[in-house]
Amino acid sequence: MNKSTTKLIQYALAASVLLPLFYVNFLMYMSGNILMAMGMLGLLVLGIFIYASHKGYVYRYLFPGLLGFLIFVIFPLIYTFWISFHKYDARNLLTKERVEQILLSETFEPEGALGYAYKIYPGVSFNTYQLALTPKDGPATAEQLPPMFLSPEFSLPLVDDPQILDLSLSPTPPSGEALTLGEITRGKLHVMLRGLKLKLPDQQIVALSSLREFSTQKPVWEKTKDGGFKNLQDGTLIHAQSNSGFFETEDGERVGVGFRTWAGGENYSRIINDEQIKQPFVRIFFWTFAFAFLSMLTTFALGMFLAVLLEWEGLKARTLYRTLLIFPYAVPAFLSILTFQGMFNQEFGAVNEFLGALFHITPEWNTNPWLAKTMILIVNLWLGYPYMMIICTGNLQSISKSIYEASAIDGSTPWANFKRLTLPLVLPPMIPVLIASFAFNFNNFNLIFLLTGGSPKMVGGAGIAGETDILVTYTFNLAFKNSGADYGLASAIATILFVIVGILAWLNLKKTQGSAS
Amino acid sequence: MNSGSKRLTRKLLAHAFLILFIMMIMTPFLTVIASSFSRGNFAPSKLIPTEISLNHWKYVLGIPYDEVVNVTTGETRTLKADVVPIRWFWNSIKISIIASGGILLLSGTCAYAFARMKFAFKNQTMTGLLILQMFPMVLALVAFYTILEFIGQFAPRMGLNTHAGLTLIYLGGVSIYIWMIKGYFETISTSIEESARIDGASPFQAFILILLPMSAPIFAVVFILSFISYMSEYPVASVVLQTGDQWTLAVGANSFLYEQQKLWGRFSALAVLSGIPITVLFIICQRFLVSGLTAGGVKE
Amino acid sequence: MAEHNGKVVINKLEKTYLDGKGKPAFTAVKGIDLIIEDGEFMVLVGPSGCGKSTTLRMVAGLEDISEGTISIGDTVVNKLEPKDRGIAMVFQNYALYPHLSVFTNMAFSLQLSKVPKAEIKKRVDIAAEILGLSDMLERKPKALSGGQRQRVAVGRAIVRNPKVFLFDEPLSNLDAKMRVQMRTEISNLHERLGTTILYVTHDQVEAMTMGDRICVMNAGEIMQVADPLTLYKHPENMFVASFIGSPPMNLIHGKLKLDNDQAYFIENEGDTHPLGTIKLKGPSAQKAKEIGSRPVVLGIRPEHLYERSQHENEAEFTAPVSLAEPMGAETLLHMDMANHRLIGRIQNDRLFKRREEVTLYLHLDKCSFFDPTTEQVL
Repeated sequence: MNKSTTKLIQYALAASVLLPLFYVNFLMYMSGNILMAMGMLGLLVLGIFIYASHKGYVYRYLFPGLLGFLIFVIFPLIYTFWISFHKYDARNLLTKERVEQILLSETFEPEGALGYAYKIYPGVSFNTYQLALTPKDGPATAEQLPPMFLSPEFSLPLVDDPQILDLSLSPTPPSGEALTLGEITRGKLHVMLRGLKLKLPDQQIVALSSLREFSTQKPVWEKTKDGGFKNLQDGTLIHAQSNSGFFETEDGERVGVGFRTWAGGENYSRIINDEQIKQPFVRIFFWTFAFAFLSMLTTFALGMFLAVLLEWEGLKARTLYRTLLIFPYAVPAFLSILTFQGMFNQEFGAVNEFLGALFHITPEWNTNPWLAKTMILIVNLWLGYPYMMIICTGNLQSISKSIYEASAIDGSTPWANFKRLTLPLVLPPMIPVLIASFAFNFNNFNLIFLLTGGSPKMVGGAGIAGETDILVTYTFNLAFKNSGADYGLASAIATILFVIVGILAWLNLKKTQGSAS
Repeated sequence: MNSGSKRLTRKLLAHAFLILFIMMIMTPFLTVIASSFSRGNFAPSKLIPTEISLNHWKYVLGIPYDEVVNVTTGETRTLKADVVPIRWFWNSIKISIIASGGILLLSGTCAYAFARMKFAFKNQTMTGLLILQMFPMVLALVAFYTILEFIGQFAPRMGLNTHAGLTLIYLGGVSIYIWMIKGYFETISTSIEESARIDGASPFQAFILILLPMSAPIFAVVFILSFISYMSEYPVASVVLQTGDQWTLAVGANSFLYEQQKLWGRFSALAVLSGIPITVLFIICQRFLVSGLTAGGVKE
Repeated sequence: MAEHNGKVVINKLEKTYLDGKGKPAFTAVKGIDLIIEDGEFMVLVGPSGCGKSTTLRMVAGLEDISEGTISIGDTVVNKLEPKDRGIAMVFQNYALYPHLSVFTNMAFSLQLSKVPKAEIKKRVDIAAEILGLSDMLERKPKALSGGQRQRVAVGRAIVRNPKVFLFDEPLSNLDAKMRVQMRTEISNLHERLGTTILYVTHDQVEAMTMGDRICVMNAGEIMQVADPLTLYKHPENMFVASFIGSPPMNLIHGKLKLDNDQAYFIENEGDTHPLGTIKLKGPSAQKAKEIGSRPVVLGIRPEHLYERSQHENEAEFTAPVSLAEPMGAETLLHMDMANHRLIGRIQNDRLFKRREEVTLYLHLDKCSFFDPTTEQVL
């Protein structure tokens, strides 16, 4: 292949990657996300510079990875940090612009509104429809048909709520059979049509006013000069209140839905001052530490013990044992955790079946907080010891055998060997692994979420906190479970969590770099 | 007692302990297998099912089967899963393979730059990568949701409820792997690439022809580790993927176990079916992994 | 083989490493000049950190040149890529590609420059023949012994048909026996190919046995360039005197005194004066008169101390033995002098005792005098 062909292929490849990106960038710009579009354009130009210029050589290797990291790690971090300073929950969910849009689209049927009969026709593709409107009071002689207005095809349920479509005058109805009233009600189409606003050629708005008809509408709210809204029906004035995140009347009555608003350090101060949040937070905080520490300790102890045992040269079938012992690590963890959820079921599970048959006890793994915590530690021990065993084995094998020969000459016992030789030699290189294990368990979402889901419920935890919750599952539940959906508070706790784990990671790094040099 | 028989007793004790321990370790697997062949959806509790039934397996594999609706009349109905659960397994495999491949590409190239090239703020960037990655993915879900919703406006195939979108998010988790691969690259003498350079290779050729093939073991380790971690990932997938046909194995398996009704039989059949190939893969790659993990643990 | 013009001219070569902020932090090579003739075997030798490897790597093109020029065969190569310089390099750790067979290792550079397959095979076969690797072309480097790996590394250099071979401490990873064998093999190879070789080592024995000429470096500067014997017999400065030769030349601080047509060397005062004042005779007296009365360092090789008088121009002294190392054919005698240690290589087959007083004769004709401040020979 000669040089010019290679060059040509290079250009073609570059173009096939770049053109779609530029197209998306253009779409983004057209849709009004100017800031984002500029940002993307900046990254695109940077990318082109890096791959075209010789100066950017190093960054050719770094750019894709760091870009992914920027978008999916750093940006979410900053975004979370930013949200933590906002009131952003189930009641204050939408942006202020969106709330204003909703207010402006609210309509009412004024006195003397014109009625329109409608027919609905199925569209070309699945779940799309077309509306045909005729005025009710228009001339209806045989010679002169009433004017007919057609909507473009739209899909139900509506993509947007409210959705505005333009009507156009048409001499003929759409092809196909109109739906019967029965078909409309059975498919609940009349319910779905409620959010639809149709704009007549003379700019009048019509909306569904009863099962059988559309009628002309007027907007309820009008924007005032000071940024508030005036109700055209009764003349009340409302203004946005950044404290509550609602539009309120003079009397403080809230109107419509809430919007996201700046809250300063309120989410953080709630963690400290609000008893409803503080109490569970503190308890969960300490349990998280205890859980992470005990998990680290137990897995290390068992892993170390098994590793030492399997280093015993006199023992037969060591390779077989080792392979079998790694098993819990080989099975995808979520499957094991869910299985244990069933096995520890206090009424039907295998564990209590076994304990009941043998010792006539049936511990309340699911309802007693302490037993639930014990169960979590047992399951995590089962999941975690093989990793520790593997690493310990690696470290043990790097210890020179001759020191044991020397200690045998000195008359040492196996226990003294372990205490005075093995442990002090294995521990230092294990410290980074132990710290990493601590950090991993500190955020071990899958285990808690899939095993107990945080239950049993914590008394006084506002229904969200559970006795076995750790910070990360608690935060997840705050944001995604129940009607709470308190993203602001969840983000504040997430930020605190990140600081803790970040410091741990930094310490670990210092430690490993210290031991490496 | 002389020292010989003392040794023997010790050995017997060790064997007894190990055998008992392994039996205990293995019980969950056995109960799950038993539960998948049991009639009814009871929590895993027996080692041998009392009544054998293949219904759970048929359900999971999407084979229609008859179920008794009314015990007195013996009336039955034919049941077939709307979304065949085995599909979740393929979804997971697909996403995990593509994401792991992407991770190799992104972290391999980055690691090369970090291990072999000089540039401003190199060490700071490395440290930053590691510390920032400590921010748990679970807690960034609101942000992920927002990002995918935004992307979805312009590229619907990469937005919410798409595998491409989820894969994209997974590609962010490069930093641990960058560190692992970088550590491996640094054990390879630079003179090998210098030699290649004298032989006339460009830096890119040296990377592709020399360094990459030499680093095959660490790439295998990274691939398997990331594959397994993505197979197990639950929270992000559960929020991003909204419809049953898109779910991954973890989301689907957990969907059998909702609070009001726990379908243990179906869960068990799915767990056995999907757990076995992954476990076998792991055991085969074990030797590789153990050396990789140990190297990572000891050296980093 | 083809006519090569492998003359290397190094002119005012300088290498300065920059710190993180782009400021000069450390100068490894301080403006050296060196000409290596076509076909010459030049050895760069010096302690670690003396700049010899840096110099070699600049010739190879693996390090940027801060100042000065390097030309190979009348072409200035400062800006050329390594592959375009007509050089081949053998690394200390062989730097073989572990995933490629011996054949592919040797053929790699030719494959990259798209040489036809038949030609590649021919050239690799010739190189393998020369090095006795013909039977192991399909093996991976892992399956080879240290010496064989070293040969593959050399073979990889040969197939490139370079104007200059660069060797960077190629034998330091081998065991002592293998090192001696490879030393001869590389010398034979040079004989056979006649190509210029630039060879870096920290081992002065290697330097002495292999080089046509030796360039001794220290702290980024060239101390002396000469053939092995000149270097040994007439070191130009105290550094070369103490670096070349094992054990090194004895250096005794003192002063010269001219008195009534007589010349004396007076050792600097110390607690004891085994040497004290010696009267110089013959050529050494002549030399002393040229130098005049002044502080000097007297240099004498250990083998120029005798237990029995052998020459006319000798100085006799008595000192206690602090350590005796019988080597077989000779014995190394360490004697504590005023404030230094004197080593003698004595041809004798008797055992010496510790603290035994021995009388030795110093061969004055073999003495060198150095300036104690500039450390240069006088």
